[in-house]
Amino acid sequence: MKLLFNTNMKAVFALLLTIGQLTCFAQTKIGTDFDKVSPADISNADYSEYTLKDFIGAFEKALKMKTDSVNKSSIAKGNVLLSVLAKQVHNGIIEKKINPNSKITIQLLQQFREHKYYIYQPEVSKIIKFFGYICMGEYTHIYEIIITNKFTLPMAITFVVFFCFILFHLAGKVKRKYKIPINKIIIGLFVFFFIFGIRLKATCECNVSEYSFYGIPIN
Amino acid sequence: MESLKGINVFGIAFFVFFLFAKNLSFAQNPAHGLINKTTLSFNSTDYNLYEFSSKPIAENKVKVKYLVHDAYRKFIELKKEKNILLVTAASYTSAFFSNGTPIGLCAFEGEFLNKMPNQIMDGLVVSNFGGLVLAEHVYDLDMIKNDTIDINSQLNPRESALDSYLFYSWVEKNKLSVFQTQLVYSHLKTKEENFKSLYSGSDSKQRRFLVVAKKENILRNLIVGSPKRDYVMKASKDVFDMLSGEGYEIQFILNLDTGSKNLLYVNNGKFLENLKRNTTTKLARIERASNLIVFFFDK
Repeated sequence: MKLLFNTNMKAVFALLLTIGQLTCFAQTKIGTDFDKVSPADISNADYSEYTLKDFIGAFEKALKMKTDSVNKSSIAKGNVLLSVLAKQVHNGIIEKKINPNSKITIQLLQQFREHKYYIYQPEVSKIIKFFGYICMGEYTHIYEIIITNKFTLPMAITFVVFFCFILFHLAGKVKRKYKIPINKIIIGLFVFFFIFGIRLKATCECNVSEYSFYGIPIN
Repeated sequence: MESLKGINVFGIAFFVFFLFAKNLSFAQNPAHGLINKTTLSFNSTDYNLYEFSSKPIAENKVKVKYLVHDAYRKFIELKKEKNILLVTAASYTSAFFSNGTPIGLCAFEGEFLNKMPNQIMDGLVVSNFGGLVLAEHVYDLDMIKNDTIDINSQLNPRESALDSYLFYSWVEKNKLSVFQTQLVYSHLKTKEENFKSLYSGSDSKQRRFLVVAKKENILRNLIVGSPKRDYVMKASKDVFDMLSGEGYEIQFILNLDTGSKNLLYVNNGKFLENLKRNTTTKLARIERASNLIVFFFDK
């Protein structure tokens, strides 16, 4: 859609803005009959009672209006509706009214993406980043992060101390009584981390993405 | 002995010629004067400043472009046609493993890549006007509309869907580029409002800012880098105080990405020098940049 933003349109939109400003403190609950209201009304309406199903219905309506070749005023309304829905869905996810990991939400977010609305982009979690760097072989970078971060440094020190304890144990400095069960735990952990590491390196490229770790949503 | 004298004279002559030629080549380099590099110390930190003036020098005018979506290929194409002065990462990106969509509103020459404004980041930069970033093309998204109706200056695409539509139409029609980031100082707010919480977030990153300011009544864009790891607001306040003390009338300070895609290349008079050569991750290579801000002038 190529929109001509000429002076007349500016005047029209200035009028729309005025109406929008006048009505912005008097939000009205909106139904689904968007054809009969102005773009300003669509922008300022109250969508708080919308369910996910309502959002899906309104999204489809917005797409139809956006591509209406007969009624030109529908194009503006469709675009405004799409914008307002994107924001409302985003807010719904943030306020935990909408589950971002449900199949139906994932589908809706994907449809929004096709129209260039990238809703809900939380910061990539530290867990994903950690495994992502391992996957990419960025070991120097992991080391740099660990030694410069006030939270990870104590964790790393604890891990090193624990590792030293294991070495200490293997050197036979632990009481005879505990030796057998501890040995079993250590061997079990070594085997687990070895298999986990090999599997991770071999399969991580397809299974670790920004918000998912082997199908487990992390966001 | 005679031959040794001859060698010495020849050596001195060669050395003098070398120095002269070196100076001559620098004086003739068209980048000379268009990028002003300085280091200023403030609160025991050395800040690197790269300053661009809107005033043309020898008919050369510095321009800014924001490159996104296959940013490196676009940069290489631009480099063939223009003289690059500086290139650095601009906005934050959702992409971790590969090229992706920058967080917040984002457009390249009229084509939107992301129409969803980030609800936290309060700065919007519009470029591609054929010059530097002007103050009127930086949007403070925390500002609430007043009663005056001036379409282009009053739009707030983060707060109003109607404004979004008008803003997108304007960007598409004029083939503009847009990115969203944190506005860490806005002249539209008081200093107290700008710097009310200095120690929030992380202090584990170096910081880099895009400053839009005036000095001697001439618009300037500065890229200011802090080598010290610091809180973003604390570092921005230091930059504000430092530049104000140097006579800059600061309009906006915008935060630039120094995370895993921290990169900075600056024209040293001979070539575009990589100033972040010792990064610990290959994500910080320009080839993997998801978006770039480039200062350049026509060949």
